[in-house]
Amino acid sequence: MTRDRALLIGIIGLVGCAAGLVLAPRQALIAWLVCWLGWGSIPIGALALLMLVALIPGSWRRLYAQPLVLGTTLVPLVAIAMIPLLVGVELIYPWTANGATAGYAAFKAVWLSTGFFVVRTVVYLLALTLIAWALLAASPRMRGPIAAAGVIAYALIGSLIGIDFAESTQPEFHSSIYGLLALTNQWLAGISFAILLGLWSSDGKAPLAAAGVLVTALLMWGYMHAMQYIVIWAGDIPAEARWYIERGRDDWGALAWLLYGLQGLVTFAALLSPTVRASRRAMMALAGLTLVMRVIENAWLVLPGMAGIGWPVAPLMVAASLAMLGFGWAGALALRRREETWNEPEWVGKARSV
Amino acid sequence: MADRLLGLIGEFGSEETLLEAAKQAKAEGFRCIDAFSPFPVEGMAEVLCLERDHRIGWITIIGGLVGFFGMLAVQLFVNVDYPVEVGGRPLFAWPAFFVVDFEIMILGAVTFAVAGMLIINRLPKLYHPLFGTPRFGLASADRFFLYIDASDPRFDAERTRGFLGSLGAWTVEAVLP
Repeated sequence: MTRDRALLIGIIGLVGCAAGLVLAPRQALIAWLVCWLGWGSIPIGALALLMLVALIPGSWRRLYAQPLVLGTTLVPLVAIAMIPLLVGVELIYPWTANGATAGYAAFKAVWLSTGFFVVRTVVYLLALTLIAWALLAASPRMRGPIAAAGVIAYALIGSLIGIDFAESTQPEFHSSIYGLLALTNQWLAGISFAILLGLWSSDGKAPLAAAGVLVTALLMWGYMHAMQYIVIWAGDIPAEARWYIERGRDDWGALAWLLYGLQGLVTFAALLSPTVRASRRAMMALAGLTLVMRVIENAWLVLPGMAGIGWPVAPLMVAASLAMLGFGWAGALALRRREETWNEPEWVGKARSV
Repeated sequence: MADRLLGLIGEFGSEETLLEAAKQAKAEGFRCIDAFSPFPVEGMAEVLCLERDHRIGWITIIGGLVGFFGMLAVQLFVNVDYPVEVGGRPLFAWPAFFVVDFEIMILGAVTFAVAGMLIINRLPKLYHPLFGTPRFGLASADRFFLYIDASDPRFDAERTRGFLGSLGAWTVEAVLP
C-alpha cells in the first residue's frame, strides 16, 4: 500500500469522525477514546518491548527489533491523537461535571480534577515521546541505560494510562490490578504488531521467539483478568460487583465470551501446537486476532459503564479505527528507517570498539 | 559360556571416537545400536536417529485435564453432599472453585509429566544386562561405550567383535543375560 492510499483511508476515517462529532459528539469522542486505547497500545507497547529488547540480548532480537523500532517511531502520533480527547474531556468523563467530585475523598477529588488530568496527560505523552526519541536517537552503547530508566518510567505511565483514561470512566469502581491490565494490554499489542510485521517481511518458518513471547504475555493477561474477577467476586462489594454485572449482561456478556474465548482459550490452545508455533501464516493470524482484540477489549472495559451510548458508537469506532490505522500506516511508511543496527550480534559492536 | 549372547559393547576413550564409531557402524548397516557416555554427545541423537517424542506433551495435557475436572468433581460432590450456606454464596461457586481447580490442574500436569517421563524411559530399573559387563560403570566417569545388539540382522558374534575392534575400541565385551 502506498503512502497516498494510506493517507486517503485515514482521511476517510477522519471525515467519518468529524461527521460523528457534529451529530453525536459524546459518542464520537468515546469511540475515539476506545480506539485510542486499543490501537494506541501498539506504539506504546512497541516502545515498552523495544526497551526490553535493548536490555535483554538473545535470538528474539532478530524477529522483534526491526518492527518494534518502527512501532516506536509512531509514539508521537499517539500523543497527537490524544488532543481531541483533551479538548472534549468534559463530554467523556463523569467526574468533570460541576460538583461531581464533592463527595470524593480529598486525594481522589484532586486527582480527578479536569486541570490536573490535562496536565498529567500531557506529562505522560511527552515523557513517552521523549523516551522513544532518546532510545531511537541513542548510540548502541547508550541504549541500555536509556532503556533501563525508560522501563521504570513506562511501568508507571503505562499503568496510569489505563487508570486515568479507562478506569476513571467509572470513578466509583476501584481495582488495584487495573494498571497491570493496561500494561498487559499494551504488551500484547506491541508483541503481536511486531510478530505480524516481522513475519510478514520474512519467509520460512516462524522462529520460536514469536510464539514464546506471545504466550508469555497472553498468560500474564489471562492471569490479570482472572485475578481481578476472582478478587472482586470474593469481596462482593456493590460498586465493584456492579462493574462485572454491567459487563456480563446482554450483548456485553456475549462480547466478554468472544474476548475471553478467542483471545484467551482459542489463542492459547492454538499456541500449544508445535505446528502452529512454527507456521508463519498461523502466527500472523494469531497476531492479527490479538491486535483486533485490543480494541474489543477496551470497548468491553469502557463502553458498558458509559451513559448515553447507543449503536452509533460501533460505526464511529470503525471510522476512528480507519483514521488511526490510515495515518499510522502512512506515518510508518514516512518514518521508517533504512539502516538499523539493532539486529547485529553483540560481538560486532565489541569487534568495532577494539 | 552357554548363555545366549545379548550383544557386544565396545569401549572408547573420547566423544569424538565414539561419535565416529557410531557413524561408521550405521554406515556399515547396523541398526540396533546404542551409545553411552558420561555427558550428552552433540550430534549423537542424529546418528542414532532418536526422533522427537511428543508423547510427554500429551501426557501433561491429560494430567492437567484430569486434575482440573477431578478437583471440580470433588468440589461439586462435597457441596451437594454437605451443603453449607456461606453469606448467600451460591452452592456451586464457580469463581471460588476455579482457584482450587487451577492449582490441582498444575499439580496433575506436573505429576503426569514426571511419572510419564519415568515410564516412557522405562524407569526405575534396578538391573540391566549391561551392568553385568565389568567396565560399563566407567560410562558414568570418563569412558564412552558403543553397544550393538544381537538382534541386529547384521550381527555376528565374531565379525562384529572384529568390527568394533577395527573402529578403535579399547576393549570389546560380551553382554550376557
